[in-house]
Amino acid sequence: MKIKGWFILGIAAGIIGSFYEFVPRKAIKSIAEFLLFDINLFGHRIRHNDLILFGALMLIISSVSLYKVYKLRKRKK
Amino acid sequence: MKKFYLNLLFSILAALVMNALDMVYHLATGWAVHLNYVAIKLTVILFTVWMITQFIGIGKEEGVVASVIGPFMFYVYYVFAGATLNRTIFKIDEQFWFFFLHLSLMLIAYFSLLNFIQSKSHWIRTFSFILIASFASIALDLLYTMIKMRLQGIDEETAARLMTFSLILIPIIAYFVAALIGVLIERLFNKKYLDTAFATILSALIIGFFTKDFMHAVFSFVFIGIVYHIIHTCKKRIMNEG
Repeated sequence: MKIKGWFILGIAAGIIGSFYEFVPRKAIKSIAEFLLFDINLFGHRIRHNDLILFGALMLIISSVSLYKVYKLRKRKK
Repeated sequence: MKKFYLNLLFSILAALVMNALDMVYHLATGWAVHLNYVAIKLTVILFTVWMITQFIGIGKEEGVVASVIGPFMFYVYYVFAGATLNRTIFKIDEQFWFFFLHLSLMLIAYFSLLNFIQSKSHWIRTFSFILIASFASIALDLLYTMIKMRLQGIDEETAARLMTFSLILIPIIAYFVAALIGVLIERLFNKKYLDTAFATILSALIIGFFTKDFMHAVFSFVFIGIVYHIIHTCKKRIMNEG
């Protein structure tokens, strides 16, 4: 993947991650209930804390992607 | 696939050592340790180190970045996640200053691994090896203890109360002594895998003798065996690649 791809991934993962991490559960529910993934997955109910963990993992993907952009730009120079 | 496997092993070791240092600190200073938070901490740290190792590489700068991103994301998780323990009774590491503690522990874990792989000094490599082998085994041992409590049906608050420093003192001594003796044996006889054999048997004997728990001794044998296998595989492959 090139700089552009990593940058787009960083921004997209950052937006999704921030949404699940920082937006309150009630606000997500008012936008669309299906965004809460209130389902059973292999016998495990998806809870609020699981969505927060998902948000944190997306933010990690975002940070690492933007760091990769920095490294690629540095190498290019 | 080989690169993926190697990076995964490296990340597993970094995450285990960091978490073991953290758990030992918490238990020694009276902060609560319980399975849910340890599982989240392991996941976040493992994922961060793996992402950086897989897509960027292994190095000093990468180590510092991983040490900042991992604990910071973990702090963010803590702030926004719902409580699973009664925080009026238990002291949980959710204050901001813990970010700096986690960062320092992560730096110790990452740079021990880096030094073990890259350092030219024999003493630094040996010291790093003892630290990695003993703390990674301690992490697995503590996870075993917490999972055992969960399987026995002990509720989270009781399990958090039962997790004290005295409970882990014998495993800590056993793994340290086993890793140390393992290194000495390797130096004396210079035979491949002899250190692993001595370390596994010795840790199992110490834990079995002092805890009188046969299953714990068997698991300690397995844990230190797994850790030694990961460390040796990791080093061999990195040396071959580099």
